[in-house]
Amino acid sequence: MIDAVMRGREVRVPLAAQADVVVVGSGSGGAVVARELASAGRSVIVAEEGGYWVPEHYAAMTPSNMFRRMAREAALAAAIGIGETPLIAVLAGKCVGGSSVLTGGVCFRIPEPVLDRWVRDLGLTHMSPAALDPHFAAVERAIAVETVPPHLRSRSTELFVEGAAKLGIRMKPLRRNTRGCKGAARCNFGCPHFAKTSVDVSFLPDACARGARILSDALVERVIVTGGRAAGIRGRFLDERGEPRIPFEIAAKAVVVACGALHTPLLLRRSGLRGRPLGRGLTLHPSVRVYGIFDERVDGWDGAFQSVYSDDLEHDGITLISAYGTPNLLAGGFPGVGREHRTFVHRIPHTAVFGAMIHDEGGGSVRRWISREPLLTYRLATRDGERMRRAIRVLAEMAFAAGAHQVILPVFGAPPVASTHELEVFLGSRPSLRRVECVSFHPLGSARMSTDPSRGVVKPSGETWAVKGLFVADGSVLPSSIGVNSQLPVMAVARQIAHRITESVALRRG
Amino acid sequence: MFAHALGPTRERLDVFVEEFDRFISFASRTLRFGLLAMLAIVRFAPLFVLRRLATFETLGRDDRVRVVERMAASRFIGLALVMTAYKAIFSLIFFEHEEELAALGYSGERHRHKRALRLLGAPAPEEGAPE
Repeated sequence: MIDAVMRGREVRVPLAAQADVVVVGSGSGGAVVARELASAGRSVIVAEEGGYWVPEHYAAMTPSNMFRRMAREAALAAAIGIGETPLIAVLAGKCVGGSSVLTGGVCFRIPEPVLDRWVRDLGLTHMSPAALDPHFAAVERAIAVETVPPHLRSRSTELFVEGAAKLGIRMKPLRRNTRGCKGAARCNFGCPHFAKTSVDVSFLPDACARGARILSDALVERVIVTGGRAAGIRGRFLDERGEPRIPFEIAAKAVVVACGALHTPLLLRRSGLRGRPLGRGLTLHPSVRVYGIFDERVDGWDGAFQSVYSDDLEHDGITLISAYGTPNLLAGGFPGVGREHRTFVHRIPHTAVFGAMIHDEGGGSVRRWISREPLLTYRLATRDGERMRRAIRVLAEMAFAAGAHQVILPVFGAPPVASTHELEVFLGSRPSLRRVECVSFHPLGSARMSTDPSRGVVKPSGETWAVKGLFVADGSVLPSSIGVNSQLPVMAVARQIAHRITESVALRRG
Repeated sequence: MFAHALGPTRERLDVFVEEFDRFISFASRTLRFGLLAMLAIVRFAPLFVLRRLATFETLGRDDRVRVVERMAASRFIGLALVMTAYKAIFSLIFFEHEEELAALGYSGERHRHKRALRLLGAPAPEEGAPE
């Protein structure tokens, strides 16, 4: 439990405060920045729109309970597909700790070819593998990144590996930020054993031990800008029902926005920033899954939530990755209604889940709408659509190769297929991609970093081009899709930005 | 949606409705409005699915199932999406009930590795010990 959290819903009088730096958002970006700046001796206040839930209580909460309290829109947020694009569910955290509380904890560094492209084509020389290496290394130490041992693999994962091997696809063990994982496959709902070192049990307590303070239920409505320079934030505390009530204002020498790719553009716009790149270029890493139904009992929940992946198809923009959810989460993906649906649900103990993620071009946008939540739209590039079709085909072939007698495709209205021939017939009919069940866990790139103010929102230092002393330090600054899980990259880039902030004129002492 | 041999009890369904209401109360007004609009589509679906002048709740169970099945398989993706969205939310809430999880053999804890250790003749790790 973090003692330095002030729960906004319990505040009854307006609050005015000041700090060297105010950080908006307490997820992977904001938590790292808060910790680094507090370590450098700056006074830091973190304002988080979501509530604070004590990690010791995660085990007692049901999945739906966790989602409604800790995920944006109770985990029902979605990007509306434009053209031949599916509706893409987008999972993002809204709590102290942000999305890191709800991720599987998978940790990848940004692949070198991606970084090389950023350096070569975009001129972001500070993003070279060598320049980011110390930041990755420091973050990996802080959150205890470790390789998932084979004994934590579930039977579902073993079948995923067996199916891949029969098709000549090599699997590798994943790295995750865990310490003593017990393999409860509940990472998406907050680790019940505190084994996942999400930022609410790693960076944030450390930041608070160094003097940082956290305000939860604190909706930041705008950044105060005076004479072209950020001077603080203004907002209102949310009550128990999530309605804005008591006002607060925090004066600061620098403001760091780390609300994630869905909300950072909205806050910047509300604060007066304009420009074509703001809110555009959203990438999602659209993900699909296939269910394989086996004769043997699989009990896929008995093991780590995620433990292996393959980058053998990376040249095609596809990463294969194992994952398994709780039965109620899987149940919605089965076909049929009534008795038929229930019959399928009762096969969950015999079901293995095979997943894949698309390294997308990024055709998404984030816009203000009629509520506090953004309007998300996404247009799948033609190339990415073909990648999605290929991913579904490969996953289904892997399931059959592993011995599945029936495969359920992520295409709503599609009947289960019982052989590779049926699979060929179905996929050969070119079902519309708009019918694909698709989910995103990594929204990125909606306030991109660029050396050119007409192409990006922030400078390579993380400071916005438009307002001095206003920084962005979350996944929205990443200048392109990265093709791997984004938690560790966001942390490393945020750490680099934090060091730039420490060196910035606004915070220079004397 | 959850029909089985005896059907869920009235109490189960009451709890389910309360849980559903609690679940969506955390979503934004816009999203809640969207869900209500979708519900209105379901309500009047018999008009364009069965071509019958009736609302969903006035149909018998078999006809309700038929409407839902046809919506899920509809060529109109909007209709299919309505069903997919509701099925996902309903399933998340309904199938996390302890009776349903017990029927599936789900306990939320890891047993497999311990079973494997026993098969090998090695002592199982203590409850709570790191694996």
